[in-house]
Amino acid sequence: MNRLKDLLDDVAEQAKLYDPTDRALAVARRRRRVARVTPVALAAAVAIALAAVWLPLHRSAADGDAAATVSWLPDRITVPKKAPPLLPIDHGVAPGSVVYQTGDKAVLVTEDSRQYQLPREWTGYVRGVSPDGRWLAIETGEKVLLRDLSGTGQIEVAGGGAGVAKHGSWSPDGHWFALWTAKVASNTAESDADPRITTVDLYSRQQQVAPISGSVTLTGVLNSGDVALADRISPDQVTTSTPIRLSILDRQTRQVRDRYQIDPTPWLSTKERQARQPAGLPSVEALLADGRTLLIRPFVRLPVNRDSVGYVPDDALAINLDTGKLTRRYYLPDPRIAVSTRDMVADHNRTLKSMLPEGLLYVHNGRTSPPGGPIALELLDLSTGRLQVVSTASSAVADIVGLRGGTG
Amino acid sequence: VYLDVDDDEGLRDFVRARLAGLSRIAYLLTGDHHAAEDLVQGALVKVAARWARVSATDNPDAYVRRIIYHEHVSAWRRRHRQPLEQPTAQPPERPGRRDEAEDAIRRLLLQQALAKLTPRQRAVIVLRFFEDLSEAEAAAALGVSRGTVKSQTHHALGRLRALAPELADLINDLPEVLV
Repeated sequence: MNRLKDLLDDVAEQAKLYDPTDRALAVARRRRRVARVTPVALAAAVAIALAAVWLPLHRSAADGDAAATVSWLPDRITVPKKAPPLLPIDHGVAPGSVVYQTGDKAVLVTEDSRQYQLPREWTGYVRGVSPDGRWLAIETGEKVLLRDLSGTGQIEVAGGGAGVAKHGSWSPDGHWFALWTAKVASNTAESDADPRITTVDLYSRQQQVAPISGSVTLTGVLNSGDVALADRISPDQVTTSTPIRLSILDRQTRQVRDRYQIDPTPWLSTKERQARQPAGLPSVEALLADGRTLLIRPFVRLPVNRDSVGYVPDDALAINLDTGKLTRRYYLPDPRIAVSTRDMVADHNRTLKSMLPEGLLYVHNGRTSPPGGPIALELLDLSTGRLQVVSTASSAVADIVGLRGGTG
Repeated sequence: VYLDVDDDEGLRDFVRARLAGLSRIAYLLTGDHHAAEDLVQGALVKVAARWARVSATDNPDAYVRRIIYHEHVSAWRRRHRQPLEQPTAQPPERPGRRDEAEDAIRRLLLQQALAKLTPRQRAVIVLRFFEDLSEAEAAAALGVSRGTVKSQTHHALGRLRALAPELADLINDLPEVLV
């Protein structure tokens, strides 16, 4: 017994039980018949056999079950020896992929693998890159700046001034950006003050502001420009039977339509239902997978120590916005290492950074020197449930601060 | 052409008892569920076509093993298909302490490195270090000489170590320490 064998065993554990015995027998019988029939029939059988070979080879693409890749990400994020040039102010660059921080610099990596140093005042404030790579979101003290990487323009989105909480989201097609702002109440029993959603049409650059209830929060913006909102629930009030309440803010009327109340209970495991410390189900973090499927990530309560519990992101639940029903639970990898709260710092943690058509993109932190830095970007292919490393980071990369599709 | 597929139940019983093991080997060889299923099916078609003769041998397992490894190498040649899982150019730096996350990273590193080996190098790794076969047994499964297995193993381990330096400690642990 050796450790290589142990690791090979681990890999082999991922195998499913492939049982093509019936198909193998059928193919063997067909071949037997082929050997006996006339040349014309043989030709037909050859065509069938060719199809039998062709179909499996092309099945992956046909059923969308191919392993996912992220073509716009570099295989490895490295810090060049020579400082990269500043982001040009007189012409555009290729679509953005990722923004990393090294020392006190924030550096943009574009799809063509070029790197650009961002203005020093943006360091620490970059929030993400639009799903099409065209826009860079930077949160300044009082507003959110959307910088057009394809040119030199920018859009300023009013953020409600200093001390106002902000949370942004891109539509999956990169057409819309929505910003939730509010003066957050000092305790959970009170509603937020002056809550509003600002929707930005990134094609026409027009902005719309809609006041909303102080008890809801932004969960995502659809390709139509409509905005999905979720009721906020105080963690203390959450039980396993607490429903998830969603609503849709219509872009044109600026009114809320389509309210859904979703019972997550059937999607909980027996253990979760029976747990003395039940899973919390506030839809605190939410992500859009496509135009009609909303992925939300509830939090689960885990004991931090004898006296207190902590909240950590749990598996993703898929909600069909056409029907308002939960359709699937995605079991995310190693939820325990998703722990990242101050009280529960793990040597390794995996932070969900963005939701892409290809799957969920995580930053895997766990470097020992400097401690806690990123070591890899991992993609969870939702069609197969497989997690794979799609990019790695050199030790000089202190943090991944922005990723395509993410807003932070 | 011998097509002894009438003893369906005998073949089914044989496969049923070995399916989990065959599936694991196929997945290790291909690194992909669809390709693994295709590999098992391709091997079983050949086994089915010769089942009467296979079942009459002293060691049908050795025959099936030989079929599946041959099928793996020849299927790759036939298809010239890229592995579905595209490995990344560089593996992550090695974290300091072993834990669940590190295991996951190491598993991914191994999968990525295996995907970059040639089919025969991958086969010798699986035969020697997953199936725990001797050089002679691995040679019989691949239909090559013992010396070829030895050199292929040497090259495969060397390449694994180059592709995934983070796994060097595992390789150095091997009794052979071939590289």
